[in-house]
Parts: sequence; C-alpha cells; structure tokens
Amino acid sequence: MKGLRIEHVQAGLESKVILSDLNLYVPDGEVHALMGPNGHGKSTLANILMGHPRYTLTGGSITLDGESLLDLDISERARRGLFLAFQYPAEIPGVTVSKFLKRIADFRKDPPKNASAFLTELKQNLAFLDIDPSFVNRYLNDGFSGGEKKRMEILQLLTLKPRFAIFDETDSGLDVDALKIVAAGINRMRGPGFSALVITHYRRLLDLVKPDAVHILERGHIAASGGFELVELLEKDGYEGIRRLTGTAKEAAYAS
Amino acid sequence: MPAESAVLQDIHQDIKQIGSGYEERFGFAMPDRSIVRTEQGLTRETVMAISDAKNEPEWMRRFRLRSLELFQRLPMPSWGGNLSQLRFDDMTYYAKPTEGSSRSWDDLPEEIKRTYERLGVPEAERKFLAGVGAQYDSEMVYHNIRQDLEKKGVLFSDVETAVREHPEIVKRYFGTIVPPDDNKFAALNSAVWSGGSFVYVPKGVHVDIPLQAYFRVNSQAFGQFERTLIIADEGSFVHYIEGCTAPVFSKDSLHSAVVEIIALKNARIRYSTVQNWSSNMYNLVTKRAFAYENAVMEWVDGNIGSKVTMKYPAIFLMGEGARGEVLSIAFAGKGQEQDTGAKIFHFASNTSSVVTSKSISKDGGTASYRGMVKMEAGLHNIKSKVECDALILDEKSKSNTYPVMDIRSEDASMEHEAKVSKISEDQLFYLMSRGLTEEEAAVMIVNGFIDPLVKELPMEYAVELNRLIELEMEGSVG
Amino acid sequence: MNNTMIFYIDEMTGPIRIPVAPDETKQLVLRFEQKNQTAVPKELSRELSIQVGPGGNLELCIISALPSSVQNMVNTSIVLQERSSLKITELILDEGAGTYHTEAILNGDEAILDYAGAYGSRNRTKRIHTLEAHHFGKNSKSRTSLKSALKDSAHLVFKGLIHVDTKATGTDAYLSNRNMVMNDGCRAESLPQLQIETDDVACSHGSTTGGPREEELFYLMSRGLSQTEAKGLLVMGHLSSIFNRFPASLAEEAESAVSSLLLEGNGPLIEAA
Repeated sequence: MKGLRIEHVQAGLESKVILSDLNLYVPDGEVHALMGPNGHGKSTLANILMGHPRYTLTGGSITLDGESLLDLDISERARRGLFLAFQYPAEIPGVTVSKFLKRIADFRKDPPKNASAFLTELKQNLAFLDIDPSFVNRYLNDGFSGGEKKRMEILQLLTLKPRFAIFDETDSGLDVDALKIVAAGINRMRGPGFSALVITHYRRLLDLVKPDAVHILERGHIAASGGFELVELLEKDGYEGIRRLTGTAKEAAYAS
Repeated sequence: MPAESAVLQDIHQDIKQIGSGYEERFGFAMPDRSIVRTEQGLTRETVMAISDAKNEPEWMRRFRLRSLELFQRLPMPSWGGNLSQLRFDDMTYYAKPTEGSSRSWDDLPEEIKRTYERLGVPEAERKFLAGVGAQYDSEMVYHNIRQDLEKKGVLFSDVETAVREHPEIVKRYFGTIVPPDDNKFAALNSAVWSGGSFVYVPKGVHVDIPLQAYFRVNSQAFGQFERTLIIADEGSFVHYIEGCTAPVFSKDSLHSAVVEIIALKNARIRYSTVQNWSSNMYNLVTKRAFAYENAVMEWVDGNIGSKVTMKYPAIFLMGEGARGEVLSIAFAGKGQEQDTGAKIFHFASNTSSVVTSKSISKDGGTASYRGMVKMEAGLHNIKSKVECDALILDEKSKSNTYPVMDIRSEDASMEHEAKVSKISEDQLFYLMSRGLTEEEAAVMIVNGFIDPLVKELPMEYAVELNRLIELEMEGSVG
Repeated sequence: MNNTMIFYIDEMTGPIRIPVAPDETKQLVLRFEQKNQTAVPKELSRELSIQVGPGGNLELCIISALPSSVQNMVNTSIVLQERSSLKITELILDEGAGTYHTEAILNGDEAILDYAGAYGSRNRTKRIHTLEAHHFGKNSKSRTSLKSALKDSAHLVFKGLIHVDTKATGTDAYLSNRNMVMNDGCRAESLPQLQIETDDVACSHGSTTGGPREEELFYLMSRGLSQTEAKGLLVMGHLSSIFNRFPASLAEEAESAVSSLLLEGNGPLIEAA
C-alpha cells in the first residue's frame, strides 16, 4: 500500500472542472514522469495534491502510504511528508534562507539534534548542490534568478527529506549545469521511503532522472501510461503521436 | 482576483489581537507619589510655577511665557489623526516626584526601582548602556554617566541641568531647530517642557555605546512634555535610543515631545525610537534635525502603541554632502491611528536622502504615511528615494499614503514608490507547503516585512520589537 | 473609425456629454481650440462628462494647445459601469494658467480605466492637474500614467489619488507620475495619494521627477549631438509613449506640437530615439 495513490479524482478551479476520473499510483521507491499539453491539468494536479485552497476536489481519494490526505490542510500534508517544488516559488522578503531552513528542518521526523548538526547538514547540501554559501544570508527567493529559485527548491527538498515529492516543471528555464544539479538532488533522495512525480515537457531532465514509469495527462485524465518509450515517441511525433498510439486521435480532433 | 478562502478567513480571526494583553505585560500603575503638582489646566500661573520649581534663569522663563501665548493663538492642525477628544483643560502639566537626581541605581526610591526592574532597566544598563536617564512623572530622577564618557567630554544630562550648567550651548541651539511658532504642539511643549535628554558630543568623539532613556507616565490624565536636544560637534558620532511604555488609564493622556538635533560638519547621529504607549495615549511629536556639511542624520522610528500618533521626523540637509535617512515602521491595531512619515528638505548640493516606511494595519486600525521631500532651486546633484510599503491584514483596516514632492532643480532626481497589499496568498501557500501553520506563516511574513528596520536596532530593541510583533500576531495573551 | 470633434472653448454653452450605451464601442477624438484669438486674458471653463454603460468601451483622445491668454478651468467626470472600459489619452499643451480636475468613478464590477496624460509647459505657466480614481466595484482595474516636461519657469502640480472603497475587493490600481525638468527654475510638484479601505487589493504608485539622465545625455553627446539636441531627444523620448496611443494622423501632429513647445526653434525634430 506504500506510495501515493490517486483514485477517481475529479477536481477543478471555481466552477470549472479540470481533472476528471484521474487515476495514478506511484509506488514507494519509484519516480514517475507526468507529461501532457499545457492547460490540461498538470499544475492543477500538483496544486490539488498540496491542498491549494483555490482548487476544489469534488470526487475521489488521495492517499499517501495508506493515509488519506484530503482532510489535512496544507501544513499538515507537509508535515506528513509531502513536498511540492514550485514552478514559480514565492518571494519572502526579510526572511533569510538560513533562518527559514532551520525552521522547516525541525518539521522532519528526525530533525537535526542541535544548531551545529543543522549547520553541518546545510554545508553538505550547499556543496552538493553547488550553491554559494553566501546564499544563506539572502532573503528567501527575493531577487533570485529562475535558476537560483529552482536550486533553492531542491535545497529545501534535501532539508525536508519528504516521503513524496512533486516537481512542477522544475526544469523549465534551466541551463545544462543547473539541470544536472536538480537531477542530482532528485536522484540523491531516491530509495525506499521516497517516491516522486516529475512534471515536465522535455526529455532533458528525464534523461538524467530515469523515470520508472511515464504518464500522459490529457484533458483531465491519464491518457497513456508506459515506459521511457513514451518520452521518445513524444519527442518524435508530439502529443499527436501519443494520441495515435492510444487511439484517442479521433477523439481529440472532435474536442474543442 | 479569487474570493477569500475559508482557511484564510480563519487566520484573520486569530491575528485580530492587537492591543490585548497590554495590561498584563505593561499595564501596571504605581501609587502616585508626586510631591509638587500644578493645578489642572494651562495658564500663565502653571507655566510660572513650572519655571519656579526648576529654578530657571530668566531667559528660559520668558521663552516659556512667549510660547504659551503662541500656543493659545495657534490653531489645531486641520489634517492628520483624530484629535477631537483632547481636552487641554483636564490635564495636569507638571509633577515632580523626588528631590534632586540620583547617581546610582541603589539610591532610587523603592517603588521606582521596582517599576524599572519590571521594565528591565538594570540588566540593560549592565549590558551595554552608557547611561540611563529615567523619567518618572516628567523629571529625570535617575541619572548615571559612565566615567569614560565624562573623560571624553561628552555631556549627557537632563535638560534642566544643562540649562543651569551649560547655558552657552543650550541658549545657542534650544528652540532654533523647532521654534515655538512651528506648530501648536511645539508651542505647548516650549511652554511646559520638562525633562528630556541633553547630549553634547565634542569634536571628533565617537560614542560607541547607544545612549538611552526610559521614562514612564504614571498619573491620570497627565501630559508628557519632554524636550531633547542633541548636538554632535564636527566629526563626532552618537547613537541615541528612545523607548517608552506607559500604564493603561481611563482618561486620555497626551505625549507632546520635541526633539531637536544638530549634526555639525562631518558628524553622524542616529536616533532610534520604539514607541509602545498604551492605547489611550495621544502621541504628537515634533522631531527635527539639521545636517551640515558632509553630516549624516538617521532616524529609526518604530510606532507600535498609542491611540493616535502624529510624528514626521524631519531632516534639513543644510550643507553640501549631507545625507539623511529615515526608516519608519508603524503598526496600527484596533482603535489606533498611526499617522507617520518623514520630511526631507534639500537646501544644498550633493545631498541625498532615503526614506523607507513600512506599515501594518489590522483589526480596523489606520496607518497613514505623510511625507514631504522638497528640493530647492539651483542645486546640483541631489537625489532622493522614498519607498512606502503597507500591509493591510483585514477588510476593516485602512492604509493611506500622502506624499508631497516639490522639485525645483534640474540636476536632481526624485523617486517615490508606494505599495499597498495584503499578505499574499502565494506566500502563505508556499510557507504552509513547508509545514508552517497559517498563523506561523503570517507571523514569518510580517516579521520579514519589518526586518529592514529591525536589523538597524541594537539587539535588545530588535528582540523586544520582534517579540512585540510576534505576540500581537500570535494572539497569545501575556 | 475615428470621429473628431472640435470644441471652441469660447463658445461652449454647457458640459460636453459623452455617453456610451451598454455593449457599445466608441472611438472619439476631441480637440479644444479658441475661435476668436485675442490677447485679452480670459477665464474659460470646459466640462466633460463621460458615462460608459455596462459592457461599453470608449477610446478617447484629447488634444488641447490653447494660447497663454486663456485661463483654463477644466472639469472632467467619468463614470464606468460594470465590465466597461475607458482608454483615455490626453495631451495638454495649454500655455495659460489652469486647473484641470478629473474624477473617475469605477462604479461597476470589473470596470477598467486606462488613462495616459502628457503635459508640456514653458515660460511662466502654472497648472494644477488633479486626477482621482475611485474604486467602488469589485475586481476593477485602473492604470494611470501622467508624464510631463517643463522648461523656463513653468510650474506644474500633479495630485493623484487612488481611493479604494471597503467594498471594492480585488482592485488592481497603479498610478505613475514622471516629470522631466529641463532647466533650473522650473518647479514640479507631485502628490500621489492612496486611500485604501480594504485588504484584498494590489495598489501602488510611483513618481519620479528630475532632469534628463546624465548617462543618457553623455551617450547621445558622445555620438555627436549638442547638449540641446540631446536634451530635446530625451524629452521627446520621455513623452513618446503617448503618441503611440493617438490615431496615426493625429500622432504626427501631436509630436510636432510638443516639439515646437518644448524644443528650441520650431518644427519637428529628427526622429525621436
């Protein structure tokens, strides 16, 4: 039962239904990729999983290691081990990175024993992610470039050590070096007790973080699931190629 | 924009606790021990009685009487906070609790010692204060100057002592930066002033440790009129901290102070205030500094308490190369009006100024920024930057911004930006997604919001300020 | 389709009314001129009343370049109902003294106000421009941009107010005032104000005043332009964003009017940067 299980989920924004009958299972220890055209529900799924107040779930269930997430609010889900690497991380002026990381590290099941244990851990993570130590004195995400913000998300991933992580287009706008660092961070977490969903359009990140399965989300539900060959097909023939494969090409042609 | 979610509505309920817990934390009142006290109301007799009680020279007595006439003639301000309930005739203008001034902590009357112990003065002094002038019912009762300050020739005393012992300096500057006819409350203060610090720093002397003064108001319907005069002679440096707290009363109290500051050539002065007056207090203060050639003047102004505060620290850049900076935060909670800001006047070339103002209003409070930047004609290379940020935490509260910019030089650059917003949903969601509760996230965001000012205060004040904000935000009592 | 209406300010009999019916779209150009040019100073007032019904859209351009003998008292009132929008562009080069008061009320939900004004002034002209945007409806939006260029001993005062009523949640409002002072002796006063009575808003304003930027002057002069020409280029560049909002034929005339008011010598300058 371990892992993230999404069953028959229907959800949307205000009165608009975006996800309908969505089913997805990411077993413990695996990393899955989620791809799909823009506007079809990938970000909605990420927000629904984290519990964003603006999105509403009108049907279905979501469980992590057998426990339902739905009656938990955002911070409770985080404390249970759910993590979202944002596509556009918010800026929090006046709050330094180090102060923030120290605070959230204490939410772990195995928090750092004391300040120096935290600092040792932090130094290791900074070195691993090739982040300049002076970063920790800057205000969280305030004035950071896109790449710096993404690295900060991965730094938080390593600090929080969650059970399940969703990466919402973490690779967008990154250069080759930054991409390698992000992949290294994700791979470092890989193993029993951790699973993840990587949302992306491109194969670059997936070449570095080889997914155990690939899903295509189209028009609010999973249109196709398979292995890495789906990524290669996508790269060659686009989403049309996927539709032909699953026989949904005609369906899409009639849809608005 | 999306409708407010139920989750966020809950958090606004939790946060609505400004002003609560005040009585437990600071709202104690000691039995009244005043020995000399004038009758209620303000007359020539009151003013003369005050002057007599202080054994003042004739010139000061005449200055007071002239100021009284001006006070009676000048009109109330037609703008700013709501002062309609101020009753000048119902107040007592002077009370002197003990004879003379103590030099050591142990000599203080027991009651007063206990009051200050509760406020944490002895510890503070041990740690890093150079000297403490503690105010009790408008007299400097306690005074202690460290030896090395005396050796350096730094003068730090109550103003009455300075009037008697250093009349040449006092006469030269007193009332020149804020003349009695400046506004009605400056006139009032000029007539009935009592207490306040006098600081003179000789040429080239650096006072490393912040000079500080505590004072409390401890009588019903009592006005507090201290007057501070700080002069930094050429090339010197001093940091002065003003912080005060007062018990809660049922009748209205008035605090109408005047602070005059002169930073001579190449000198630097920083004046920091954290004000947390009780919620019935009218806090109407005129603070002004003149900065001469290459001098630097910095006002750090934190306004948390009072019923109505009207305070606009001003800097007159009089000499070439002078620089002015104002850092101001205001927190307006239930029933509070913080009407604060800054006034900068560029009268010389190569001058620059920066004003940063941050305000938070919640639970129906109103925070207003009122500022002025004036640049005279024919000047060269003058720059000014003003930034006002306001956070409104609920739909009951208000925020206003009233800046005035008057530029008459071409070789000048004036930039002003103001923003009003609520705590962003995106920020809250982001922090909560990392495990903080809504309340914790809001506290973190608000503390982050005021961090630029908190960073500039000495550690003890920074901690007190952070704690104050956290307590207000966390909704805990005591 | 652009309709141009010319109003002779010395023959005005009453307020000019511009109503826009629900869901109607209108485009209009208003020019203010003086019929009988006389040197005798006269105080002349004009009033403009704009009412845009629900779902209506109005695009309005106003040009006024009256001589110094005219003292201007101008009052503009704007009311926007729900889902309506007003895009208004005004170029005021009047040389006489004047007070110009504009009050816009965003009454209905989702109303949009897009206001751009360009003001040029020289000699001893003193003008006061006041613009108030009152938000009463929900989710309404206002963008106000006031740009000016002053020379000689001109004196311009800009008072701008964004007022958001306690019921006007979701308001998105921004006011900007940029004044370029071309020589010592001008005076630009800027008083942008915010009165916000509710929390669910994004409101801000920005104001900058100063002379042409040193680095920019240096750059242009290093390419061979004289200081005068360089300044002229920068001034035109400063106000150019407004010319883009005029219909093509009018844009050229507007640019020419600005350049003859503010730059030494008459006639249009070489292409603005």
